[in-house]
Order: sequence, then structure tokens, then C-alpha cells
Amino acid sequence: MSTEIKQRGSLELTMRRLISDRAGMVSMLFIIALVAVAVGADAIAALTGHSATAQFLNTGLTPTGLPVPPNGEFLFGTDQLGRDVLVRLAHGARISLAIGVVASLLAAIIGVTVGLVAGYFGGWIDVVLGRLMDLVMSIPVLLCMLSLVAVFGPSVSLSLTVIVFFSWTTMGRVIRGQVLSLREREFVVASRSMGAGHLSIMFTDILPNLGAPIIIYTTMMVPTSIIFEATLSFLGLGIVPPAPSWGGMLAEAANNSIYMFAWWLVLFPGLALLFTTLSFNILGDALRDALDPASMRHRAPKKKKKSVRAAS
Amino acid sequence: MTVLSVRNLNIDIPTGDGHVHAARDVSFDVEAGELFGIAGESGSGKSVLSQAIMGLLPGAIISGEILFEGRNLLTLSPKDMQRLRGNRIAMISQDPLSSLHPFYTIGAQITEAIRTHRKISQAEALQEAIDILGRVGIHDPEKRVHDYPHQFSGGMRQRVMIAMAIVLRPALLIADEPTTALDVTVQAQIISLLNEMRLELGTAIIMVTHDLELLSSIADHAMVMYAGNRMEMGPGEAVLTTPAHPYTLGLLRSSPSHESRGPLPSIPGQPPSLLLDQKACAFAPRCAAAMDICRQERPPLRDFVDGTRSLCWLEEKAANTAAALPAAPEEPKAIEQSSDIVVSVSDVRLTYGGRSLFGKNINLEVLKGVSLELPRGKTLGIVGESGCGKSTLARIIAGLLPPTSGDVTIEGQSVIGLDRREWIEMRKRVQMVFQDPFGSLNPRRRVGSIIGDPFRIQNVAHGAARKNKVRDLMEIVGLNPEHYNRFPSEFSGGQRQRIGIARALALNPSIIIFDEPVSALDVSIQAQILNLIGRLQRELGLSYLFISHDLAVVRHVSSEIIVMKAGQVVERGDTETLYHQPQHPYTRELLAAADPDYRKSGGGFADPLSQGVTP
Amino acid sequence: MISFVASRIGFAALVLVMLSGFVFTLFFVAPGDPARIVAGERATEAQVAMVRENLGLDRPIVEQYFSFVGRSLSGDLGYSYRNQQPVLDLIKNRMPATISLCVGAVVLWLMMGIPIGIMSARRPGSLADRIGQGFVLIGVSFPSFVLGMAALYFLYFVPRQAGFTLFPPGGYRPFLDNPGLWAWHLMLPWFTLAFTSAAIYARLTRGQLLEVLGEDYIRTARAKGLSERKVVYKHGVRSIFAPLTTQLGADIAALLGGALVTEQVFGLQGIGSLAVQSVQTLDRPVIIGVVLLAGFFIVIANLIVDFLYILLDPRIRT
Repeated sequence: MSTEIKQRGSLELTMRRLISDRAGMVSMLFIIALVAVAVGADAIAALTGHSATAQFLNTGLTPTGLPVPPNGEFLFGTDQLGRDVLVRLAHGARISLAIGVVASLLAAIIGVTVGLVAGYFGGWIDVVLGRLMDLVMSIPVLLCMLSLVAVFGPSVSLSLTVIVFFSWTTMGRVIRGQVLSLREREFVVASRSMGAGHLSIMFTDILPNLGAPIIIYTTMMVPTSIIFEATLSFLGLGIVPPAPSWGGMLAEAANNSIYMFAWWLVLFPGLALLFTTLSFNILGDALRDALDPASMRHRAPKKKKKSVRAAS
Repeated sequence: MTVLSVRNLNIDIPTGDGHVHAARDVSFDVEAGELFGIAGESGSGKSVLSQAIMGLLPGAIISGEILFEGRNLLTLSPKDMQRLRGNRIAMISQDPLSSLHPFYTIGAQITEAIRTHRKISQAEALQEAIDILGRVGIHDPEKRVHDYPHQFSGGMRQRVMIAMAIVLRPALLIADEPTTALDVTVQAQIISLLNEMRLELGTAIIMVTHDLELLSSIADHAMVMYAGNRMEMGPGEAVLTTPAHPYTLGLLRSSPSHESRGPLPSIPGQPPSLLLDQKACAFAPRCAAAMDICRQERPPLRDFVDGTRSLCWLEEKAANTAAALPAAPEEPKAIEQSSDIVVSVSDVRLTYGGRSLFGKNINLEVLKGVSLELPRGKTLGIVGESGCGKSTLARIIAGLLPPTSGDVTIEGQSVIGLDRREWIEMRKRVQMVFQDPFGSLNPRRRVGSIIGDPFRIQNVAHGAARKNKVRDLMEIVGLNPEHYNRFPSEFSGGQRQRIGIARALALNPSIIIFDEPVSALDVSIQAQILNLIGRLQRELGLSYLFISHDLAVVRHVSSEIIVMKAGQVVERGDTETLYHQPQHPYTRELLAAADPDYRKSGGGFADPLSQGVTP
Repeated sequence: MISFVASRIGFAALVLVMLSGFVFTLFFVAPGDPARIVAGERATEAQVAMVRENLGLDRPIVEQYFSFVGRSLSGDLGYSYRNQQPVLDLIKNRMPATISLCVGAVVLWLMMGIPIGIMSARRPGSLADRIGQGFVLIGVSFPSFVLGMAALYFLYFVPRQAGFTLFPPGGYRPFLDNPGLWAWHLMLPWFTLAFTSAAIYARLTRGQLLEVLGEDYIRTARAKGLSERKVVYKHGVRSIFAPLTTQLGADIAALLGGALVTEQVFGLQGIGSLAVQSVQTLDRPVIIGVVLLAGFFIVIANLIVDFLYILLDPRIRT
């Protein structure tokens, strides 16, 4: 390795790549703004003087009883019960973000643990855990959710549990695959030959090499969880009204096709959902490009990868 | 008649890190029916050359001329180039396992090659495929033509690749490291096959390889590449027995051959990065005969009487110039005879039990009763081809794998059936150095931490004391202790292997097991590492088990050798006796296959093996 | 290979057992009196008792489970007291809509996603690739029900306001009555259901194909003088069939969920909307029947996918 070419630490390189990705930076800003809105939802309610569940039958509905379009008083308009859409949107952000992030973190923890154990120990442990993952992936998710709701009734904890239960397998599969190939690498054998125990190898040798996929897939799971929760609320299986959630707002809009006449009832929650998931997905892509430049070859023209190989 | 004429070829490849100058001003001619060798280490640009000739380097900036059958390939349209590929110019590459499409039968792949360039029916093409398969030595071609690549062994697959390349009788065949991935005995067969085909069909062959000995026996003309430059070119024998260029001379002398013993004269330093511009002679920084002018101006092309040309400032051939000889290292002191046996293996067997699809018990016997003894301070070489069980044996001795039966004692103590604590203690006596300098170090950890690992795991030294010990180790193996905090990716292959050795030395073991430690390294670096290992043995009184498939290397370092085949020891003895008076037919086969004279005569020692399904 | 087949069939059986066990536990063991819940709140005591006897709820649990399984296997999925119909009949009536929706969507997303992925992989970094990747990004981010509602708004409502009908607002027309009408009514639902999956397949195809195109055997194909088209399609695409098929197997489970949502948005009288209604009316037998049936179909579909895999990868056969 020539000393003339400057070597930078890997963290510095990663941050450089990340910052230079403009789309990624924009997405991060959006997410930060969204978190601010969610945290400050009560402040928004206080500012406008409308709470999330208050119905304003005089100012919030037209004389014929239809929702009012966006105007000075109601920035995003009102819904069919005269409630302020903006305030409800801000409160709904809390639900979506909270469930999305918490579910992803929990699913990631479970997935990494299972994947690590399955991939490292191999043998019958791997077979059993592998079959378990296959099993979970074969279950018709929504239908099971239906059954559960039919018995236990909808609730936040049920939604969270179901989302986590069906999401961890993605991470589990990925981590298992990585660990399986890492385990065969000679540096693991070397550690064993020095007398290292299983836990030592898993934490010191294998886990540091999993940093990139863990971060990337956890970020990617957030939008999936958010959409999942929104879908549940849309079907009436998730958050119980009158508590606001984006999916619920869309469900109410779809009821009797009110949204045909009140486009703002679909536009704002819909865009909120879309932009949120888009941001997390773009951020995930940006993280992947920054953390794992080997995948950069999928972005750069094909000749780059071939030539670097050919040059050896 | 000249089939290929390359003139002043410059190849620049744009990458994310800058322009890689893969070839500089390279010119050569290939005559019809001749075997032209291109030799060089990794990074010399030899593979890029072959791809450029085939037109398989999109995005590269190429200047100069490549004249083939009168046409300049660089100015041809992609369609015209396509018509030549596979038809008039063919290529076979290094790894036959991944070079054939796994989902199509070999018959389908060969007929596809035929029908792309000839308008004949599928049935006729299939018949031609069967014919050519028979010609290259595949038994039962009518049946085998419908088999898939994974149903063939490595050597067989390479024969299929050759068949596919020559079926249309190309004028030029480029063989890019065709035997590197194969066992020694198979290598010889493939080389002789290529030679046969060349003589029968009149095809010119360009053989790209890093194995100089191989070329010296079969190449009509040879060209030695270094850092993208053509350093030397001329008739095969001349270049490789009395080289003109110091680099070629250095390479030849640093390869362990059948006569060498003791430390090898090695070429210091490493090849330069191809991203940098070269102002003067690219080899000057490492050259023993470098003069001032070598560092200032680009050398001219000198012609010698016997037809050799050399890119060098020296006016005489390097082989005749005393100054160009790499320094011969000092003679080592004689080692005292010792009868103290440090490693004793008795009748070790390893069997993998298993059940087949139909419930029958299938037992895979990997080791069928192996015994050996290693005296203190000596080196025992274990040689054999892939699948003979030598790596498995190494792991059993290292304590990583329990044998099914048999015993292994280290310094008098059995290593079978130890409890966890005793086993950890045993680690301090025997350590291992691995083959792959890229895979044996955790890419996410710093070098200081990797070398310090044994201390951490064994709870021997902490904090500053540990750091000092690591620094000492780095110095012992020839690394700069200032690089303590670097990552493995910042080191070259040879340096990484030194890190692995430092790690193995940390706990002061008495025995080190080397599992193919230099197989993945370039020749010039190999010599450095072998010298290091030898020096450490003398200074620290270590005992070595040295495993390799490379006979020359094993012979060079070992005082005793055992030869393994299919899980058994077929012969053992001290090195010289084994080499000059081999008893077992397999030993003879191995020696013959590695012998340059044998290769030149076209082989014939062993029949081409043609088996069915690979086990 | 036989062990592969055996293990897949064994696994399928395991899934069915698990699903039936889950459903059974949920409904017959969960809190609340199953008999009353099945019969409905307005049922009289006598009716509840009759239901209890009918369902065999006074017998030991294990026996109940086996009779439950036995009945299901013979086609008796219970009786919906709310709708006064056997569950199987209810489901049969709703099947055509769901099957039309699902099959059409699968075809559509394969036809959309794979070519986009191939186009991206052939020229990575180009404008075509960036468009393809943009499509992927939007596709995986768009919740399907939002897409459906937006589609209805712009492609039904807005033209309606302008005076003409571009697409119908939903509803299902049987194929046998009028194929043209059948397709027209399903256009928007197909598109909605297929969009996200098409994006997923485009992404998968692109990634897998890029990897394959870097393999040595592709270089061999080029060295043989094959045209770039042949290299990409005959050699490259052929190698990605296997992972695509595996993904298809995984997607079948998700497909039913997507169909459920789409049926709600477009008012299609399919099994999905049946299931949702049943939850709202707490009609347990129907839910049981739907879940069991869905599980059955998923298992069969996965078995088919597994066998396809054998056809596609010769290395398993030997």
C-alpha cells in the first residue's frame, strides 16, 4: 500500500460520504422536523387553540355539514366532525413515529440475537431457528391480526406486538447469512485457536462486522412499521378513535367517500405518510452507500468495478 | 507469420481513486503456432493486457495499436470485435469453477459458442461438441455432454473450457493463469493438453502466468511485466535462464527451486502503486544494481545478441553483472541435533458420519490413520494436493478439531480429551498461522488489538505492558511499531502475513503450524516471509509444521517431509532422500509434475483422469 | 433431492398445524363464552345451548381440536349464524373477486417490476437507471391504500366532475358476464395492489442481476462472442430466476393482506372485505374459515414455488 496516498480513518470516510449525499441530508432534515412536530404537537394545539379531539361545529363545518377547506383558522382544513386536521396530523405523527421506531428497534434486537445465535452455532440450533423464521414468514399477517383483534379488541400494545412479531425475521435472515459467512473466515478460527470462548468471539470478532447491516436494516424497517401501523388503523384494527392516527384519518376520509369532496382529508395525511416513509427509505439508502461502499458499485458505472478488478 | 502485433500499448483505467496506469508502452509480437508467455506478479498488468486484446475493457483509455490478422482491433466496431471473439481469438481464464454457467449443460454452452459464429444445425453443433470433448480427454463424451458443470472436477472443467475455446479453431488463444487454481498433477496435464492442441491446430497461445519455471520449459518467447511495463522480452529459455533485467533475475533467484537451501535472496520492498505516474525506471527503488540515472530517466530498450530486449540502463545482461545479483544472506549457524520430540501424532483418524438420502450410513473418512513426529527445533513439511487432509490434520494438532480416534501429544502431554482450562493452557504451546492474509485478520479491528488478542484472551498482560509487548512483536517480524493503530486493509499481503506471525508468536509457543502461509503471496514477497520464518526458528528455537502444496517451498524449508494422499501418509523421509529417491509412485508423480523438464516433454507420465461425479 | 422434497412437505404440514392450532386456541380457548359469541348477543339461552352442542364445546379440548380439524378437512368450515349461511358458501361466493384481483396483480407486478429492474441493471448509473431507482423508491414508500384513494380521486372523481367516466369507482363484475367490464373494474385495484410489489421486484431484479453480471461466467459468455443482449438475457437473467422465485413465495403471504386492503378501498366483495366485516360483527366462524383457507392456499403456493425452484437450479437435482 503506497504511503503517498492519504489514509483516512474509516469513521471519517463514512461521515464524508454521508454528508456528501444530498438526498440523504434532506431526508434527515425532514425527519428531524417531523420529530419536532410530533414532540411539539401539544404546543401546536395550544397555538391554534384547537385540541386534537375538539369538534368545532360552527366554524369547522359548512352550513350543509361538510368539512371546511384550508383557510385562515384551520390551516389544513377540518374533517367530517369539524376537527382541526393540522392538530390531528401533528398528534398522529407521534403515534406513527413512536410505533415505527420502537417496533423497529425491538424487531432489530430480536432479529440480531436470533440471527447471531443461529448463524454462529449452526447445527440443529440453526435448523430450528431457521424453520422458526420460515414459519413466521409463512403466516398471513393481516388475517392473523384480524383474528387477534376479533378476540382481544384493538389496542396500541397489540399493534406493536404484532408488528414486532412479523418484522424481526427480515433482520434475522440477513444477520444469519452474514454470520454464517463470517464464521468461516480465518480470523474466527484464529481467535478460537488462541483460546477465545464463544461469547468473546461473538462480541469481539463477529458483531463489529455486523454494524453496517444492523444500522441499514433497522432504518429500513421503520417505514415498513409505519405503513404497517397505518394500514392497521385504516382497517380499524389499530388505534381506536377518537385518538388521531394517520391511518385512522384516512379511514374516516374513505368512509362514504367523503374525501372526494374534501380532498384535503386525503392529501395531508397521505403526503405525511408518503414523505415520512420516503425520508426513511432515502436515509437508509444513503447510510448503505456511506457505510458499505462495496455496494457503491451498483451506483457507479459498471466499468469502475470491472477495471479495478482487472488492474490487479 | 505474425498473428498478433501489439505496438506501444498504453492502458489507463479510470477508477474512483484516480487513473490506474495498467500498461505503459507495451509492444510485442506473437507468431503463428508459437507459445508466448507473459509473466509477472499481481499488479504487473498482465491480466489487463489479455482483456484489452479481447476488447473486454469498456471504459478503459487505450492508445497504441493491436494488430490481429492485419486489422487494428482498437478501431473495430463492437459488432466486428464480437465476431472475432470466440471465433478467431479465444480466451480461457483462471477459475474453471466459476467460469462456466451453472445452469446450462456443457453441451449447451459449447454448441452456443459454435452456433454464434457458424450457421449449422443444433444436431451438427452437438456432434462437433462431442468430438472436441473427446479430443481434450473427456471420457464418454456422448453422455457427458449433457451434464452440468458442477458434475465435473476442477481439471475436467478446465478441459471443457479449453474445448469450448478451441472448437472453432481460433488463430489465437489467450490462457490467463489457466492452471493456478488446479492441483500440481492436474496442472501438468492441462499444460500438456494445451501444447498438444497448439501443435495439432496451429493455434498461437499467449499464456499469462506468475510461474516463471513453467514458462521456461514451454514458452517459445516470453515477456516479463512489472508495474505495467514490459521489462524484458526474448526467447523463452534465454529470458528465464540468463535474464537480462535485474527484476527477472531477482524473481528467479528468490523463487525456492529444487536446488536452494537456506535463506533466499529476496527483492526488498513492494511493487509501486499503479495510480502513480512513473518518471524513471519503475523498478529502481528495489533494484540492487540501480544507478543514479535509473532514478532520473526512463531506461532505453536494449537489444542483446541472443534476441533478448531489456528495458534497463545496464549495458550488459543482469545475469552477467555482479552488481545486479541480489545480496546473498549470511550462512546460518548449524543447528544442534536434538532428539527431543515435541509433537507426536499416533494413528489419528477422522471420520465424518452421515446419513444419505435413503437412510444408509455414509462415512466420510478424511484421515485414515496418520502418524508423525516432529523433533524440537526442526521443520516437518507436510505436502499433498487438495483434499488429502493436510489442513484437517493441522487443525487436529492445533486442537481445533477432535479426532475420531488416535492420539496427539504436544511436549509429552496428550491434547485429546482436555477440559476447557487445560485446553486454554495448551494454546500457549502451539499456535497456527493461516493461509489467507486477507481473511485471517478481522477487518474491523486495529492491528495492535489483533496482535494483542492472545494476551487479552489468555489474560496474560494488560494496558501498557501489553502495548509494549505488541510493539516488540511488530519489530521482531519486521513491521513498523508506529503502525499500531492501523487497520488490516492498510497493509499489503506480505505485511498482513507478518501480522499473523506476530500474533502467533505472542504467547511464546514452542510449536507453530503453518497452513499454506505463502501460497497467496507473490514470489518476491514469498521469499521475504520464508526468510523471516527461518530466522525466527533459529533465534527462538521454534519447531514448525509446514503445510503446503508447493513442492519447491516445502523442500526449501523442511528438514523432513511427509507426503499425504487421500487421508494417508504415503511416504516420509528426510528432504534430500525423498527428492532424489522417491519410493512411492504418488511421490514420483508429484515430483515429476513439478519438474520443468517433465512439463516440456509434454507429460505423459500419468493418464488424463476422467472421472464421473466429483465426491 | 428427495430429502429436499420431504422437508418442504413436512414444513407445509407444520404450518397448517400451527395455523389451525392458533385459530383454534384463539376462538375456543380465549376468554368469553364461544358459544354465545358465535350465536350472537341477541340469541336466546336455548339457541346458545344448541350452538354449544353443535360445536361440541362441552367435550374435552383435545377432542374438540381434532374434530375441528377433521371438519375443516372435509370441507365443513362451520356455520355463520349472522349471515345464516355455511361459511364455505359465503367464501365461495366471494372467491372470484379475490382470485381475479390477486392473479391479475401478480401478473402485473412481474411484468412491470422485472423489466424495470433489468433496464436498471444493464446501464447502472445512467438516466434510465436513476428513473428505475426512483420508481423503486416511490413504490416502496407509498402505502397501498393511499395510492388507491389517490387513484380513485384522480382517475375517477376528477374525470367525473369533468363530465366523463374514465374508471369506475370500484365494485366487481363477474368475468363470465362480461370480460371487458370485468377487466375495466379491476384496472385500478390491480395497479394499486401491484405497485409496491413491482417496486420490490424491480429492486431485487436490479440487485441480483448486477451481481450476476459481475460473475466469471458472464465474462466467459462475452469472450465467446455473444451479443450483449444474449449475455444479459440468456445468461444473466436465467441466473436470477431462482432468487426471484424465492421472493415470490415470501410475497404470497403478504399478497392476501394487500388484497384485503385493496378490497376495502375499492369496495370489492371479496374474501378480504368479508374478513374485515366479520371482525366488525364479531362473526367468529367466518374469520376461522377465512384464516384456515388463506393458510391452506399460502402453503400450497409455497410448495409450488419450492418445486419450481428444483426445476430452476440443476445443482439441487443431483
